[in-house]
Amino acid sequence: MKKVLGVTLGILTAIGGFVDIGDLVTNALVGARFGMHMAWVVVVGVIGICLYAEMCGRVVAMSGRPVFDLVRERLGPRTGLLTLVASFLVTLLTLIAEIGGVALALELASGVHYLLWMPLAAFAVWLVIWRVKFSRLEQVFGLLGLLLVVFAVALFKLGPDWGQLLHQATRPHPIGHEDWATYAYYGIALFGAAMTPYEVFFFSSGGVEEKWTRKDLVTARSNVFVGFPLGGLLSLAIMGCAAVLFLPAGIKVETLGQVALPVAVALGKLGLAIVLIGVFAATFGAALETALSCGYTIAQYRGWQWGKFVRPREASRFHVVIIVCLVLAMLTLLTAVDPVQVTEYSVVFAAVALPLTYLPILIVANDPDYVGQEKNGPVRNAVGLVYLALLTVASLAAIPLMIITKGGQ
Amino acid sequence: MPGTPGESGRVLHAQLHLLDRQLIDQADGHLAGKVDDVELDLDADPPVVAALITGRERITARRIVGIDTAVTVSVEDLDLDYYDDWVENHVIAKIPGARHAAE
Amino acid sequence: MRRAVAVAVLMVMVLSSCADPDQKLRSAAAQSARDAASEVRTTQVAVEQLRAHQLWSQSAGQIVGDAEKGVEKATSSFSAQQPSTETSTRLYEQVTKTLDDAQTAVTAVRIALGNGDLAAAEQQLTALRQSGADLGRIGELAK
Repeated sequence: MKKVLGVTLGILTAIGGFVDIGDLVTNALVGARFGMHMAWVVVVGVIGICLYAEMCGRVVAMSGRPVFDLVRERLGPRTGLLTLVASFLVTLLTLIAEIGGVALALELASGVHYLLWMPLAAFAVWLVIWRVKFSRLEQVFGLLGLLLVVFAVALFKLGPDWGQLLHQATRPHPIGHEDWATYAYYGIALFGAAMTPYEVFFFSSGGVEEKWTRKDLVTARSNVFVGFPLGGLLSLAIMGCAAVLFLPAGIKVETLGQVALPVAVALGKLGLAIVLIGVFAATFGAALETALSCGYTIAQYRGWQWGKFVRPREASRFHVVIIVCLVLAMLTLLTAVDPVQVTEYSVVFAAVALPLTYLPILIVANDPDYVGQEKNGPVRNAVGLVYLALLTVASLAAIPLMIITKGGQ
Repeated sequence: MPGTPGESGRVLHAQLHLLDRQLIDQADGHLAGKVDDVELDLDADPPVVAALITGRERITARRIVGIDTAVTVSVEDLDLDYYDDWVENHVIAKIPGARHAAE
Repeated sequence: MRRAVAVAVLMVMVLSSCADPDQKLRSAAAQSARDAASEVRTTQVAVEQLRAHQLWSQSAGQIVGDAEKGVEKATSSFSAQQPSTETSTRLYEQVTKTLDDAQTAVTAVRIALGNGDLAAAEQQLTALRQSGADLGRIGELAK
């Protein structure tokens, strides 16, 4: 019974934890501009994250070592360092976007300017990391993030023409004033949002924090194979709401208020309250995850003591990295950059870093030194390689497309 | 590998099994850096590992307790935590709550 | 493959816009009009939902405040254009006027909401709908 409870809790946490500011903004933005014509990218992205997160979970459960611990060992110090720098910078950019998202959610609820909320949000993130147990912070924010299911309820309440949505989803091409360049650009952004690198760092380090062993493989796999796809459905619901309400009206999504607006239209003030709490929890949870991931990547690469399973003073450099990253995030946001714009760039740069993040995972998941008998089978490797090729194409195309489309305009 | 006869004779690929691997302090299980370099004793036949280098410290082979997905070493008087201790004493320990486990 | 397509699309766009100054202005007008229409309709939805008690006033104020900034951005980006022919000048004046009307309506809503005067905001609904429709037509002038 306790085991079933643990597995259920893990799945619910995975669903709530799947959606972050990148998913919220990108899915709504894409739904408003392309309807459901880009829904397939979410499906492809979710399969990809499932595939690679499962490998990470397996490596942790079998070897007790997180991904970045092994990156340097298997790629050597030079390639390892390149991977570290790329992954770390993208994660830091994501952290900036998440903290901006927390502040924007608070602004929408209170009417007080987000720049006033922002230092408070950053401080609260630090305080939770400093004082709250790992399993508790993961569960609380994951479960609160589940409130975003309100997007699915809103979609039903809006009473869309389901046949038309399905019709759009089965026709993957640009519509209206959009061309193939913007279609490809936002396709890559959506891909980057679904497969953001910090998700695998956090997932694998979380496995160590919770002391996974071989026995926990079932838990790890159920989190991945049930939780993530349901999280993907949540993403599609966000996209669907925008497709129903904004596409016909010619409204482009550029603010977090617009992301939440369909829920208010469908469900009124109560719906708005729920969605704002959900957005707050999802972005705050992701801010915790990205801040921790900044510490995880550097500490694991350097071999420093890390993690919340020891007292803060025993992992002093790990905690200093987190504090420095939070201060950097705060200073960046204080320049009054638009957090939504930061989010849009963060998912594209995430796409650029993807092959560097995911290649080492594929290598390690094939190494009997770490995973023993639980090596990748031929099918997993074949699909893994197909995805690696896909990630490489997306990564190479991202920057040229950003220039050609002027950032998707 | 030199040392007690019981654990000698294991053939390891130094680059694959030792280089860049995580070091763990046997005493408390703490993470203690990475193997930055491996010092070989080329006079022996076949060559054996003489020491592991991490940061500014040299860990002689007899301190190696076990080699698995990480290398466990007996740290004793070596100062592997120099920088961590410095940061701890100058920054982290000054913040309230640093001594307590999270709740 | 995607890149090849993207580059081809870019070439077509660059060539077509170099060829004809009127065409270049038309496409700038369409772009700005679509951006502004998006903001005007967002404002319209916010006011309608506020009237139907579906939205809190501070969130509506927030959404409309952001929309106002968006319209300003679209307006100023279009006014930086350089009309060089007679046709272009006529279009420039007409589009500028439509964008100004849109901005006036959105600003009026923002002020009304700031003063807690929902009735005044609702009075702008007609202007917003008209403005949205006008901008929509200009938005169709070019791809």
